[in-house]
Order: sequence, then C-alpha cells, then structure tokens
Amino acid sequence: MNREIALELKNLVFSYRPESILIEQMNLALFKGEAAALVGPNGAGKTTLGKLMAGILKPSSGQLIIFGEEGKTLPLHRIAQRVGYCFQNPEHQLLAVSVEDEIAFGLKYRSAGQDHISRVTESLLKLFEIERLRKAFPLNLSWGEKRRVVLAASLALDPEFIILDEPTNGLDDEQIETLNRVLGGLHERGIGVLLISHNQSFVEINAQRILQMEEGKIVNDYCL
Amino acid sequence: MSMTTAFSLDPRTKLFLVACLSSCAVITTHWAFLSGLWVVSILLLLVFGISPWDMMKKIRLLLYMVIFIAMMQSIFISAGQALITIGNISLMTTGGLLMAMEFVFRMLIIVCSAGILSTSNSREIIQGLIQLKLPYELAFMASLGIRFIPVFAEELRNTMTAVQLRGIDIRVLPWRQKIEVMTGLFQPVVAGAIIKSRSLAMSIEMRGFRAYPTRSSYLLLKYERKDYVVMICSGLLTAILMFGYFFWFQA
Ligand SMILES: Nc1ncnc2c1ncn2[C@@H]1O[C@H](COP(=O)(O)OP(=O)(O)OP(=O)(O)O)[C@@H](O)[C@H]1O
Ligand SMILES: [Mg+2]
Repeated sequence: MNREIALELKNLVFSYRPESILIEQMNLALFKGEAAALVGPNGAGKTTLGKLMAGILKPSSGQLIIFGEEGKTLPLHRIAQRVGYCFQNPEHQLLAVSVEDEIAFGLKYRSAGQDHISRVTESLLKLFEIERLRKAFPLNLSWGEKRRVVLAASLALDPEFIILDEPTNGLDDEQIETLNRVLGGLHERGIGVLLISHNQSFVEINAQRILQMEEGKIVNDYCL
Repeated sequence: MSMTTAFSLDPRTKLFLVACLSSCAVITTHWAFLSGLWVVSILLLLVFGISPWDMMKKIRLLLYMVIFIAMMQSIFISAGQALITIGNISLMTTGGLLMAMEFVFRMLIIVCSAGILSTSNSREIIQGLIQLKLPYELAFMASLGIRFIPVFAEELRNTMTAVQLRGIDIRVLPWRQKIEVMTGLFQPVVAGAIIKSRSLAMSIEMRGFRAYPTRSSYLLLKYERKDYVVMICSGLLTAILMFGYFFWFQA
C-alpha cells in the first residue's frame, strides 16, 4: 500500500471552551488511499476530530498538515477541493433547489465546463440510484436520500480523501449495501476515507484500520 | 456593576423608554437631530452598564451599507452637490450622503434600544408585555422570534461552511455569480426555517399550549417609584424634543 501521508495532526490541542480541553496533544497520520474508521462512544470527540481534520474547526494549538501543506494557511474552500467532508446531519449541507443542482453546485462555480458538469452529475445520480429524484427539492427528501445526495455532491469535486460522519445513520440495509459498493469503488480509485461510525459490520467491511477514541484520545489504533 | 443593579428597572419601563427613543428616531429626518439622539442612546447604554463600543463593533457591517445607500441615493436622486462624478453620472452627492447618514443614525439608535432591552431576560419582557394587556400568544411569539436570532446566525454560519466545503470561495466570485449563489441559498435557508418552525409549533401544541383559556404566572412585575420617575421624565423629554423638532427644523 502507498504509505504517503494524506492528513496529519501534530501535537494538536483543541477545546470548544477555554476551561475544558477536549483534545490534548494528539498525533495522528492518515495515509493516502487508506480506509480508516474512527469509533468510540457518544461524546468521545469523533465529530470534533473529523472536523479538525477537514479544516472546518481550527486547532487551539498544534498543526494540521494536509497533503504536505500547513493547514492553518489554507482557506477552507481550498482544503475542500482535496478533502471532502459530510456532516453527521445531511440537512446542514443541502444548498440547492434540486438534486441535480445540488450535485453540480461545487463544479458550477469553479468554472468547470458544461460537458464536464453534466457528465459528472449524471454518473453520480446513477451511482447513487437517485436519477428519478433529479428534480426534487433536497430538503423534502427522506433522510437516506438526503445522505446520498450530500455524499454525491461531495464526490463531484473529486476529492483525494473524504471524511464521512456516521454515513450509515438512518440508512436501511439496502442503502448500506449501496454505500458499501460506492466505498469499494473509492478504494479502488485510491481515494482515502475516514469513516466515523457506530456500525460494527459496516466498519469491518469497509475499513482496514480502526482508530478507537475515548474522551478525546485515540486509545487504540490497529489494522484489521 | 452596582450601577446596573441599582438600575434594574421594570421591563415595562424599559419598553417605554425604547418606544420613546425609537419613535423619535423614526419620526425625525434631520441628520443633526438624529446624531444628537444617537448620543443620548449611547449615554443610556452606559447608564444600563452596556459597553457601547462592543455594541458598535457588532454592527460594523452597517458602514458598508452607508456607502452603498449613499451611492444609490446619489445616482438616482442626485440632490445637492456632486462630490464624485464619472462622466456625467454623479456617484456621490451631498444629498445622497446625508440621506445615508440619516438612515445609519436611525439604525444605530434602534440597535442601542435593542441593547437596552437585552438587559432584561426574555421571560421578564414577555411578562411585561402580558401585564401591558398584550395577548399571551403574541407576547410568546415575539419572544420566540428573539430566541431564534442566534439560531439563525448559527444556521447562516453552517451554510457558509457548507458552501466552502463545495470548494467555493464566495469572495472571489464575480458579482453576478456572487448574487446568484446568495439568492440561491436564500431559498433552502428559508425553507429550512419554515420546516423547523412547523415542528416547533407541533411540539409546543403537544405540551398543551393553550389547553386552558387563561394562564397563571409565577412571575409578577410591580412598578417602583424609579419606574414612574423614568417614565415620566422620558415621556416629557420626548414630547419636548418632538415639539422642538417640528418648531425649529421644519419651520
Ligand atoms: N459546538 C460545540 N460547543 C461546545 N461543546 C461542543 C460542541 N460540539 C461538541 N461539543 C462537546 O464536545 C464533546 C465531543 O463531541 P463530539 O460531537 O465530537 O462527539 P462524538 O464522538 O462525535 O459523539 P457522537 O457519537 O454522539 O456523534 C461533547 O462532550 C460535546 O458536548
Ligand atoms: Mg458525532
């Protein structure tokens, strides 16, 4: 496997409020093309760690290094072109008035050609089996559909690494099956993923490395 | 700090004060008068123990508004002398600038008034409104509106994060696209708010809101002497100011 580092935390400290430090002196490296899973109890700080790695939250001190570049100096929109992120709640990420606009959104404002946009949009609609929903208003979709739309919209930017916060939440078995297939495809294309999940079997199918988190610390880091 | 506690007025008194201040601000149109009124509201903030500086910092955005409004007024109304011109279009005129200043002072005064109200918690203000014989439902709705301001702010921040997560830097987009993105965002944000308020209404109803025709209340407000003093003084002052304004500035 390729052992080049994709995302790295160095002596990272983070707190939401100055009086209580949530993450203390964390060192962690995620590798290119790696499929890792972040597991742990509610409130352990998984979402927080995911947001830190995606550059959404800024560390109180320490460093985030994204594909060799210092994260502090990179604006979020630049990071997002290489590192995708899907929120625990898909509703926070729905921005457009139709599913196809949602998927095309990121490309449209980055002066991608019309051909390219429609090609990417079509293939993602197909991949996630949401072609019949193309004209639907995203906020009116079912939970599982919203999740798929957000993931499709993130993948439209062609990220090299993607972080998914509880992607199986609210999906039925069939949808999890689809997600497994999509993740398998990403792995083949060498795209790294970090899955934040409580779903044991989902993690076992899709990840080779498990990071176990408790109270803001990685207490266990092993390969399956 | 002792000053603030000493000045713990009845929320109804504060409402009255704010009503006086903002009606002065809305009725009058002369920039000099308005700027004087603004100074008064700043002094009031100090009396209530709020830092006017923090308050003003929060509304820096208004400054951009001034420039924008001044330009709009100048281009379309072009009253007064031209200050900046391109060809034969005047981009900035004294008339436009004055109009913009009036607008800004008015906004500043209203913001200061809101600051005065924020020294009572929303529960006290609702109770004040109810004891002023406003129907409970209306008072409750008003307080919900206030409660939702930070929620909206949070929502807006989330949305801006989500836009950046799509790899878009809204600051560098050309104006046409910038407006396109913003208006595009408007719809889902508003729709989201409506969906949320619908479920809020349902959960309020499920907790038995309006199950009984009248509501009793644990908190009861009582006027004290200082409340009467403040109300009478501010009422008189407002009357004098209004009279003076129409006498001097309109004549
Ligand atoms: N915006 C915030 N402000 C203050 N504290 C927060 C904020 N977000 C999260 N926290 C706190 O940080 C801690 C970690 O939260 P986090 O969401 O990262 O946990 P998690 O591991 O993702 O949990 P879950 O499995 O429930 O999603 C929690 O104690 C939470 O209360
Ligand atoms: Mg979480």
